[in-house]
Amino acid sequence: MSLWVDKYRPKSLSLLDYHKDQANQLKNLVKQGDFPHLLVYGPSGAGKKTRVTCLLRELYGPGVEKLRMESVPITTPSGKKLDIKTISSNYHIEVNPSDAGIYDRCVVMELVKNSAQTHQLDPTGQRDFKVVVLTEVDSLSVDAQHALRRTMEKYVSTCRLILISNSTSRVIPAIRSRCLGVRVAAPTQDQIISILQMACKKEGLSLPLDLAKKIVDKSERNLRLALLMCESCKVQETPLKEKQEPILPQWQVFLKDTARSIMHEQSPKQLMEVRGRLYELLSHNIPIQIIFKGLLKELVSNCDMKLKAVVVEEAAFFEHRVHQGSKGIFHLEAFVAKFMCIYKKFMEDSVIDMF
Amino acid sequence: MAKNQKYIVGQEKHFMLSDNWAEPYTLDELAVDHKKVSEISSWLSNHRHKCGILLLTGSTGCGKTALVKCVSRSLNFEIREWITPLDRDFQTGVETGVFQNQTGKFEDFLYSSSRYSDLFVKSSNAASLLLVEDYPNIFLMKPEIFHEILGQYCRTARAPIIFICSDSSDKSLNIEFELFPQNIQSQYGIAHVSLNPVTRTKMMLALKRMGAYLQSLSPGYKLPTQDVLNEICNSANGDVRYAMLSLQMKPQEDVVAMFDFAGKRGPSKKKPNSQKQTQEEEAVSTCGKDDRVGILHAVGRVLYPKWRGEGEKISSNNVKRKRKEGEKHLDATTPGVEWVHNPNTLADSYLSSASSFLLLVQENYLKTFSSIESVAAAAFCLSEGDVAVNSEGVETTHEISFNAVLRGVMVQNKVPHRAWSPVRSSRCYEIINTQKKLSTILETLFPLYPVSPIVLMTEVVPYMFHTSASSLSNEQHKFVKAVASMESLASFCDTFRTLKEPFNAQKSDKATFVIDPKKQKITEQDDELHISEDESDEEVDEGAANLTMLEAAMAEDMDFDEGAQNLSMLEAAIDNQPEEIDYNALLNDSDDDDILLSQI
Repeated sequence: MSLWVDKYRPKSLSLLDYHKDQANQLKNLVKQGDFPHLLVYGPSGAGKKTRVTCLLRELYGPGVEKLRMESVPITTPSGKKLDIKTISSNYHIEVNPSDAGIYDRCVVMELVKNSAQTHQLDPTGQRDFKVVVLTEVDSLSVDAQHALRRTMEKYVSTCRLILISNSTSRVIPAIRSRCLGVRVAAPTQDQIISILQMACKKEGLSLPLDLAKKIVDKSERNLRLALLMCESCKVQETPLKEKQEPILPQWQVFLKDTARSIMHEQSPKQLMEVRGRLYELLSHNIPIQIIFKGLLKELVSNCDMKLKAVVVEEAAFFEHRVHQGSKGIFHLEAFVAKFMCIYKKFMEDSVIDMF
Repeated sequence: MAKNQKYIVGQEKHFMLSDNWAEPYTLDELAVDHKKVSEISSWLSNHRHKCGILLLTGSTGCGKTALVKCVSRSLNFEIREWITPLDRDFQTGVETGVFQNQTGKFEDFLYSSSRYSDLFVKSSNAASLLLVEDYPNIFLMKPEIFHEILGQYCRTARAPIIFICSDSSDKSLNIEFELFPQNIQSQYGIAHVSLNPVTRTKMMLALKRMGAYLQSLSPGYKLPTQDVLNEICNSANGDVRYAMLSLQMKPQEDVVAMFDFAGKRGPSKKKPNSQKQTQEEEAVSTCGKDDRVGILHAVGRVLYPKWRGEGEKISSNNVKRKRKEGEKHLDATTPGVEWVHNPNTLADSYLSSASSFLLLVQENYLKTFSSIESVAAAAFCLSEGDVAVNSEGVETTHEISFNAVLRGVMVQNKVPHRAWSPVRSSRCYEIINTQKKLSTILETLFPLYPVSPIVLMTEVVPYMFHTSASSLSNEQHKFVKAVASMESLASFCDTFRTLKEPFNAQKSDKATFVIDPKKQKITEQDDELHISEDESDEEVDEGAANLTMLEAAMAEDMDFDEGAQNLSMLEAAIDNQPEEIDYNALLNDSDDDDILLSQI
């Protein structure tokens, strides 16, 4: 048994459920026999990866689904040896450059060179280029992106790049202009509902509309999350009921509790406790940006309108610093401390106003 | 005293600038613990004309060499010391005859001097004792050669040998660690004596003895005051050789008087007493080595900032008395105050390790603050500091910003909350370790799952617990459960390794999460990689655990002597923490793994 997310993942471009025009365009692109470098971007859970997999299948046929995991040894200029995990088929290679940390520059260059320098053994009926899929281009360092710029021009005859990122804002303009941008927007509410209902139907269940709406609401138009929630609802109670509450991931609950404890008391001691909780979240591999966002959302919802603007501004300030610095916890903690400070003052003032 | 004669040039009373003149002659004069002395003497007397190896370790200047010399003198041993020779005679510029490498020479030295007695020895019944303090470099690169020679020595020798190693915080320079690992020590029955840094009392005695001796040499010499001696003791940090040197270098009263004279002409008119005091302090500190305090000590100074009013002198009694009297606490806003511990010096001495210093401050500052407003301001400074320290720029910007951050934190803490609290090492590294382990675990448990690890952790895995619990393998289930219930993953990661070994051994029933049966292919090589990565992180955790045991190094002017040795040990732990241990462990472990895997 596999998850619904994987079970009902469309396998070819023509089977995609939404953005059908775009799927057709991609199909035409492939039919031409050649295509440029692609930059696929869109929010998490919008189906970027699915679309890329479909595109690869369209290009190379089912052979592209025979995946294997390899670790490619790479030596950095400073002599450090790295092993980079890649997922590849005979036709493409997929890599997450953020695994390499600060060495992403040489990893990206080496990989593109390696795959570009080997031609297809049997070009009959196949494309004469390979595809390198780079995921999470957002987290690629500027250095690596500049290196990529040159490499992608040089090896364009034997190698195409598909870059996947959440937004184009962190991709340098030089790369953006060398790629055909493909925006995969998050599916609309109705699209998600219809997909959920289709999945439920195939499972032999009927999904009440109210529950579907609730799921869409909670998942914030993240299709993957919606499908996971829907499946967990099924496990919780079959047949599905209208009044059911979709389950949130435990870390979100944890984050909400953290926000509540910040509102509850503002003191160094409390901050100490909050720090412990933040560390716990970080150790669960929750990215600091998501923590920032979640925390802010919870905190702001309990704030006065005047306070909201101030708090959001502070959050933006410290979130920016996370990118400038290297130790996220410093800034996260500074934000919490600042919030506690503002909130405490606000509460004290409002008490004074009452008398 | 005959022995003194040779250190005095001619009849004039000059002191040699070497430390030899200060060396103790009898056992009583040693600044080493009596127990250690008797330990060494009993070992030596047991090994007269016998083969035996003793390893003597201790921090620099704790009196290792002096100890050996004194004991051997008292027991009538003749010391033969190995001095690494030069291959070329530099004075004449001619190569010395037949070339023999250092290893060969060392071997010869051990063999001949342990078997044959010296022709020039005056007393015939003196037994010989070999002393090695200077190790040929080749041994550090290839310890196995050294171990071979040791084995040979054990078979042939008829005289004991003592190896002296200075402790070093840097593992790559640590001779004891490189040349005398535990298994070698037990194989050759090496006795190991480790000396602690010299205690304050012993140091004081030694200084006084030296003062008296200096006075006996030149009657014009004035004995240093107790304050000066205290100062020297403090700055020496258990290093008796350094203490001797600074005592010798300390300007005499008349020099201070000269300063005094100059001072009186100046515009400021303070009480002469206090001025003399400060100048004496200055005099000591100007001729001392750079007064670098331990990192924990320095963190303490930042966390518990202290100010003094104008013209006030620092002494522990003063501070204590004031606190008892409940005098108003000074802070930065009081006019005319100045730092007791200048942040400039702190910033200067820790500039190179600024980011780990900030980590320590960040981990510990909350406990000393009492109001959330000042915490917010200090946190802001720290956040600024993290950005500044990591920004690219010229050295001076780093220096200034680091300084500013320290000052910021110190100024904000108006009334430090004083209570016993251990200084903890930052959890940052621990978290990073856990994250690394986590990604290896994810790769092992869910290979080829087509989403990034972040999405896997934030979205897929939490739901797996609810949806497909039944189809997961045992390991996967445990992991998913831990994630879904927000258990502490740090402890989970530690247990995971032990879980994985049996899992690895029986590869046949390896259950992977099924996405598509065709995709399920993971080479055995991958698994091997995972283990070695898993193991590499262990040691860092141990270091962190050590640190938490630590007593708080508050910036009190109290007696730090007992603490000093602990502190220096822990400093080493901190310095090493970010990378070095990691690499060593990785190297060692990966070797072990190969063996382990080949057995499987």
